[in-house]
Amino acid sequence: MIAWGAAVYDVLVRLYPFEFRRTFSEELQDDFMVASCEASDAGGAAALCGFWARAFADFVVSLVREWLRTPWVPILLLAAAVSVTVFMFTALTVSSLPVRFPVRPPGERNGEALKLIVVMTVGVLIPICGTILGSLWMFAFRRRTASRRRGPHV
Amino acid sequence: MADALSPAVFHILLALATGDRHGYGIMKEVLRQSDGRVRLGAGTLYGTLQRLIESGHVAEAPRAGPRTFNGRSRRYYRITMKGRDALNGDVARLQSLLKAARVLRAANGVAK
Repeated sequence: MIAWGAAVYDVLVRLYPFEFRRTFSEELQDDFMVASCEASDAGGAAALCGFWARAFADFVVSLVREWLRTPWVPILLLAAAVSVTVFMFTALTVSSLPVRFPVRPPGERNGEALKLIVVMTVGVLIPICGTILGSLWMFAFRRRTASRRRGPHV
Repeated sequence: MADALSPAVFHILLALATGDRHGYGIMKEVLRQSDGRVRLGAGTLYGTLQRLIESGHVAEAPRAGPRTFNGRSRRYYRITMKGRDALNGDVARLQSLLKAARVLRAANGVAK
């Protein structure tokens, strides 16, 4: 039963951000195993389940906290906002164009398929490229400011 | 007056004030010092430790001997001078608060 819980916890630990996982995953797994054994020895299955419940609650809270410390959350939120804005703007602009596209696929009226291609290209590819460039910029920025230290009063 | 430390930071620094400890040792010491009232989870502990190391309040201790567990070496942590100063500042702040609270209770005739 302990081994089963430890296996589940090992999987959960993989959900932490890479840096945190690389630094502390072995300690997290070892501590979980030791604490599980101690809880089981002290109070049997009931104590073990109680410890697992506390460990899972702490895991959820710390998982959110650690991910919020990474640059990915603001980047993804920004990318989502930009994506929706660009996509809507492109779709509305292209659909209201009074001109016909020069190339019209057979059976299509007014080049609707081409309009869709333009919307998808501009509205999806540009935000994706922006997200990639933004991520690269964020990593470069973090590398430059790596020497800056944060206080513990958070 | 010094900034208030978060409860997790305060308990970790207090646990390390009496000697170098590994992560699980810190959890056990926090539990002991708080008479079983404060249980630090592993995720909270190591996240806070990471921030304390980044800010220079805690450092990894050099290994003094064959400290191994499950065939893997245990990392020990040590409070730094900066961490000790922060802890002392917070203890002084809490003492001041306690003093003020006692005066208030005495003034209201609650304290015996």
